[in-house]
Amino acid sequence: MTLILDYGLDSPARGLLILVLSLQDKLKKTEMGILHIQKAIRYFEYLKQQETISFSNFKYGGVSYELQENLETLEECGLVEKVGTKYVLTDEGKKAAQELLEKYEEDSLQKLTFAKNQLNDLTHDEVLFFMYKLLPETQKYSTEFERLDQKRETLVRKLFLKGRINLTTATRWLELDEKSFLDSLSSRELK
Amino acid sequence: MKYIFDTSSIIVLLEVCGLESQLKSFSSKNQLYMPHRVREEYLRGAKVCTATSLSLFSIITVDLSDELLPYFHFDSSSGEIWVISHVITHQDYCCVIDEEFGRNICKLFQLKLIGAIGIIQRLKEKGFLSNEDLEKIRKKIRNSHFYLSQKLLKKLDQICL
Repeated sequence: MTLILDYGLDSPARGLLILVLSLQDKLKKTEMGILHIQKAIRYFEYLKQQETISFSNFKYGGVSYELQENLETLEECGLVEKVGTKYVLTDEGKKAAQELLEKYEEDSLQKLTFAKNQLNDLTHDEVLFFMYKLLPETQKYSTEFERLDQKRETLVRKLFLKGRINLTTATRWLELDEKSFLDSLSSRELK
Repeated sequence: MKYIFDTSSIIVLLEVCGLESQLKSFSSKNQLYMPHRVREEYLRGAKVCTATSLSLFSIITVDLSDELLPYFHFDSSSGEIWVISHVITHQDYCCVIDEEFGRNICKLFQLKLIGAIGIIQRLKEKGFLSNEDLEKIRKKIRNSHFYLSQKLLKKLDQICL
């Protein structure tokens, strides 16, 4: 028997949860809060253009009860533990991740790594705003978007400066021309 | 070495720093390219556009890499997606990109990568720039409204030491 079969990690939700928690982000950290787990996996699905996990549009945009329930199951099984507000893999979870990594296709792993790298060190507001703008349909029942949209100039500038969006996306999200946006950066960031 | 340039790097080197003659010398042993899309972007926004400066670069037709599109939110209008598309299939080329996002994508695909500041460093190493030139370049970049990340500006300071 393998850990994959023992714990049902061949289900997309469980497999992705274990894998995303095994990867290092830009700051070489593996731990993740629940919001960042949800958003990184949703971003991964966007990059793959697939819908293997069920997401609903709710207060915080696209969220998945399927992921939440499976995360709780993995915690009960002792593969994942909560340290403060963050989730980490246990030693058993790390062994399971190793098994999954050996079987996972390279392209998917590259996209999951990218999704975690791009989102995991963003603040709560930055990650929410990024995902609302990436997937506008998730703004529908949001309790947060209006508040975030009021500070969109700051959020877009930060996302650009952190390399999470390019100039084209930044100017589109702000409905600004490139020169005005770059001028705003040079006056605020470099002087 | 073959270098393929994104728009912002060309603007920094040609318009902000005025390194046309140095780049010409550099191009005697290196090949400088830009995709059609970058040429369009450059011509649309260029303050200075002489026949000589553009002739430094060979214009190449690039096949857009579909696998890049999701990373760029399915928008192929930016220059860097064309630069990266070319280098994904021609790994003897080096991307010249300054924007942090494009640089992140290059690192993800493990592509050769340099920016305008890196090119300035190579010009220095080849003896095309004196210490006096470098000091002038540093002032021009620092005083320009063109955006470069703090990390790249620090690298520039180190080169100018």
